[in-house]
Amino acid sequence: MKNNLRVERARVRMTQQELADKTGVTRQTIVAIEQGKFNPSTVLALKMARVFGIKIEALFELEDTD
Amino acid sequence: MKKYRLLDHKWQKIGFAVFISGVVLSLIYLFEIVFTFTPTQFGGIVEDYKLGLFNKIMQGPLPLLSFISAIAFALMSLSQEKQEDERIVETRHQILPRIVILFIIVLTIRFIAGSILIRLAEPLSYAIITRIIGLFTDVTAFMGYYVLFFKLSLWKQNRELSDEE
Repeated sequence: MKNNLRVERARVRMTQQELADKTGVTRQTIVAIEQGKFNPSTVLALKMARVFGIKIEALFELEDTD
Repeated sequence: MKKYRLLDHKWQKIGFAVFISGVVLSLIYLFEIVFTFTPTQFGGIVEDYKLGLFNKIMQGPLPLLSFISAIAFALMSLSQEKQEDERIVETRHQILPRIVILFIIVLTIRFIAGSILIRLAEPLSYAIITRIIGLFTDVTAFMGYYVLFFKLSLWKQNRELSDEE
C-alpha cells in the first residue's frame, strides 16, 4: 500500500512526533507507516486523514501487488 | 475499536523487580547451601555428597527461582508497553508463532538429548543434565522466551525506526 503521509506532513509542516501525538501512536509507528513497513488499521488511517483534513483515498492508495 | 486487556505498564516494572529479587534471593539461598553442606556429613563419600548437594539445590533455590520467575514473567508478558499502539500489538502477534516453533524445536532437542544421555552418561550426570534441560523447557521458561523475544524484537524495530525525521 502506497501512502502520501510524508508529503501531507510536509504540506502542513507537521513533525512525526506531532502526528504521533494527534493519532495516539508512537513516533516509530509513524516512521514505519511512512516507510511502508507497517500498514495502519482503518481507524488509524481515518484519524490521520482527519488530521490532514483530506479523504483517506488521498492519503493511502492500493498498489497492484496488494 | 477492539482493545486488548493488558495490565498497566507499571506492572511490567514490578515484574522485572520481582525477577531480579528472585535471582538475588535464590543466589543467597544457593550460597548458603553450598557453604554449609560439607562432604564430612556424608562420611567423606564424594558421590553421596554430590547427590545430596544436588538434591538440596533442586529442592530449595531452584523451585524458589522457578516460582518467582513464573510470577515475574507472567506480569511482564501480560502488561502493556509505555505507549501500546497497533504496531506493538502486531509485534506481539508475530512473536507467538515463533515461540510455538521454538517450543517444538526445544522439546525435540530435549527428547534427542535425553535419549542419548541415558545411554552414555552416568546416572548422577544424567539426573543433573536432564534437570537443567528441564529448567529451560518448562512453561516458566517459555514465558521468559516470550518476554525476551518480544523485547528484542521491539528494541530492533525501534532502533531501525528511530533515526528518521
